[in-house]
Amino acid sequence: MIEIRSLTKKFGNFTALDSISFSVGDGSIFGLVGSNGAGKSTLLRTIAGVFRPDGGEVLIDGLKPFENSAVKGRCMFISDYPYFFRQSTLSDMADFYRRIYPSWNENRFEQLCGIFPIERKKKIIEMSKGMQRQAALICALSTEPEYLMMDEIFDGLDPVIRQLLKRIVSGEVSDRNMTVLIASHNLRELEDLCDHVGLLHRGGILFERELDALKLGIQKVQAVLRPMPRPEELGLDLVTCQIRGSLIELVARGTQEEILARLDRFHPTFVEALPLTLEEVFINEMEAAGYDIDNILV
Amino acid sequence: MTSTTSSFKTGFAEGKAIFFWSLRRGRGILVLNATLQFLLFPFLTFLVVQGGRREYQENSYQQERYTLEEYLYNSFCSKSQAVFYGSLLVGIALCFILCAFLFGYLHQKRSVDLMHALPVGRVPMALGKFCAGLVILWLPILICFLLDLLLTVVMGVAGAPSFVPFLIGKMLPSLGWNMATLFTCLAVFLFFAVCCGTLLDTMISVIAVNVFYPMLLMFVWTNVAEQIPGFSTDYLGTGGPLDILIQIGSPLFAGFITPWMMTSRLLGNSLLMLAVGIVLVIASCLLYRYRKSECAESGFAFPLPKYIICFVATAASALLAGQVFQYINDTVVSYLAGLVIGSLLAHSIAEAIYSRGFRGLPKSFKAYGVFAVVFLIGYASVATGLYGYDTRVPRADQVESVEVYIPTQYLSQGYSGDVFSFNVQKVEMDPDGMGYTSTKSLVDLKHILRDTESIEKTIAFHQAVIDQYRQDLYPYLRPQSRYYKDITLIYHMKDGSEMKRVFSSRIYEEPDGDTEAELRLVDLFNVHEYRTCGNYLYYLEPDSIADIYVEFPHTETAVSAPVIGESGATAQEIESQTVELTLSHEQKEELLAAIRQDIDEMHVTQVEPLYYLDEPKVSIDCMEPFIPQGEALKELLGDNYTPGSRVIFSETMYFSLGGNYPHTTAVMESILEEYR
Repeated sequence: MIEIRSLTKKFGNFTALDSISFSVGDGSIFGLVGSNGAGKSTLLRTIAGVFRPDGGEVLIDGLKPFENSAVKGRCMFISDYPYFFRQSTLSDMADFYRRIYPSWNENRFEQLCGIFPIERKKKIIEMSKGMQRQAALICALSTEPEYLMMDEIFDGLDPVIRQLLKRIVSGEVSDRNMTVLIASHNLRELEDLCDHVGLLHRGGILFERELDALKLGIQKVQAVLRPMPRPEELGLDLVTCQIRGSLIELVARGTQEEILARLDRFHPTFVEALPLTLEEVFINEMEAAGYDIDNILV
Repeated sequence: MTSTTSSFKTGFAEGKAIFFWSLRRGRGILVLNATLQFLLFPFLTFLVVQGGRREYQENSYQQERYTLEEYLYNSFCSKSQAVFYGSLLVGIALCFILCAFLFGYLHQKRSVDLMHALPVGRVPMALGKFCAGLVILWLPILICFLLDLLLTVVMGVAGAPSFVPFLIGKMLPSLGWNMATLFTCLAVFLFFAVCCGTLLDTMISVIAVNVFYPMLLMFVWTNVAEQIPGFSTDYLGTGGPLDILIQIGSPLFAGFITPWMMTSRLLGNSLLMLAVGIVLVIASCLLYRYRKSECAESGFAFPLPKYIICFVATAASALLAGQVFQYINDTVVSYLAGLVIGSLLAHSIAEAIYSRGFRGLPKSFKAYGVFAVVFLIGYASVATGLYGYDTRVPRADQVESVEVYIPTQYLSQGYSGDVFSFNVQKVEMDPDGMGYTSTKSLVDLKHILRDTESIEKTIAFHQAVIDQYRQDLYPYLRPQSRYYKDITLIYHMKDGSEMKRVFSSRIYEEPDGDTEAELRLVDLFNVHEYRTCGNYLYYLEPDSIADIYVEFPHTETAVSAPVIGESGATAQEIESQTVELTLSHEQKEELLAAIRQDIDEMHVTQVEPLYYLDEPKVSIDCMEPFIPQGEALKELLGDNYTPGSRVIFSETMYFSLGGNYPHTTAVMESILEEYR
């Protein structure tokens, strides 16, 4: 379990993380979203033990990761621009990780090399961005980490490899109870993969919640009503409401059954509950919380 | 205890993994070093010895003088020091490459993300990489050195009798020095790599500290010596505090110069160098634990070294500019202008280099202000005599004895140039007995005065010299190189301490008339102990005298010269006549006795002999190797002397005949008469 308590990280006068607290349970896939400079990468680096916290603490199974080899040996961090030694090939990097990580699994490495379309003997520096990420992923997953932290991992990956990545990560989580933290701007990708999400903004965490609970608590409904009542007459906890002629599209809090039952009272010609995207959930939540959403999500 | 042991084992395992990985990755540099060291050690030895063998076989004269082993050994020795120096240069150059290879990861955000997320502690990581660097530097040198030794055995060089002493006395200390220096150089790079945020700053800092720090020390040292009366001028290579300070602060510079300057002290210097390296490695590890990963690619992780380097570079440049300006225009204003302009320029350049531009320059003048205040305090301290250093004179009742070295034209006391270096040396003669191959100092002759009267008169002279300095030069605003220091007074105090002062005789010689210092010097000179104590003339033996040269006074000849304008000019051509005398044993004995009697009875009334230019000058070449017979010399040499071996005096004697040497003049005249 990853526990973050009042975590603060400063770069000179700039506070990148401002007293953040939340926790990530074992076996969950936690998505970190936020605008540029929100502190996602800093948070991941601090959890991975690269940065020393300036305040508060990060605990992984009750232990601080900074300068703690025992904890770091169970973690793996893939940064937004993975680093490879000069002139090294995937085999060279595998050799390096093999020496450093006691949990290195050679069979898993062979297996992953078979899954990802990558040449082992080719210099990594000569590979494309997406191929380099694949190389980093192969090495990372071959160490069989208990905690995997990935920063903007979907950048540069083609849709096939993205799906492959999601499948492999999900498999690792279900097989080994691996805990995953992913920082990304790409809410659609996170929506497919994550079970928890957290929104960072200006170094603080605005909220973190289970994705299903987040989605279940808010609904999007389209209906055709004649005559069209005024929104306040609907008796719903509306988040947004748009009326175009006899068509009303609304986002309201509550269960799907409650909302549809309410609308039934107005004898709709047509009524349909629509799936909410993670992006819409966030937008709605943020607006409800009084934030200017344009300045938070880009 | 269990936890500590377990932690150590874990750290060791982590360091080992990093070590072997770094070594594997650095095998290219290892091979490069091995190739270069191979060319320097066994390959060059092979060429040199093979060439020597051919020369020997073709040269019958050499075959008569030397055995083949001796000749090959001489050839081998002649290249040995250059090879060790070359090997050291190669190693130091490779340190720059190794720094980028081993510690470059600290200066890139991407590599820091990888390396600092690894399950490896920072200290094991730094030490693992450092040790890999050491192996890359040391292993080729050691292997090639051993191959070199093997080759000397195979090719017959090791058969020479002097080989083993040379191996122990020169080669092994040089090898030790090289290895210690490379250890410390790599430690310097590690230290600055930890302190700096970029590789460029690391390189700049290493170079800057190794250039400007010794430059500053030498400028401060020479300036203080030239500004403050009495301050000793022990320069580089004497093993003094200046050498130690340079070695501590700039090991690369010390690595370059020490083998040339202090071959006899290499073992001690190697240990000091190693100690500096160990301290740097420990400091690097401690700092690395607190180094912020985020400082990669940006400025300094620990800014103190940057401030110190800027300070040192600014101060050194200020003093350099001061010297240059003073050289152009020998005034205080010019010197001070040089200090200000030099320091401002150096500060601006240093700031521009470290900040990659001039945007931070206005802000940086706060640091310059600190520099200016510190520099001003230092300058004011020196200008006012370093808190009474210039006027400090011991009380006679506190002094046990005093060593006095003052150049005088009345008699020779082993004064050579501005150094008192008179000694007696053991001589290794050539097999043919015609010349000698080497000399080794056995004993230095010291002019130590112990009588109360001598001490009191020395102190009176000392006080008079100080008063003259204060009168003429105080405050000491700039270095005065024209007052070269040729007087040395070393007080051995009763409490066991020592007080050394050096002065310039110019300070009392230049003013017109007899100065107080000159009068006090005459008083001192008329003390019998001063004239006779430690005077080598009392240890000379007839056999040590080779030849005597008598130079008669100048004869001036007017010659015609071109007429310039309305007035005619004449040039004077000075001619002198020199006679070389070879004396019999009895004549030499008689001459020595006369000289000693003259010195015993000498009484002078002024510092410089008036008749000096008008009297014949005598120089006695007493540099003939001889076997000591007299008790005085044997007692002086003591246990240092091996009975039967030959010794030689290091200086010859010069003096003018005349009023102060009546007995000597009489003897010389009789000899000259015989000659005529």
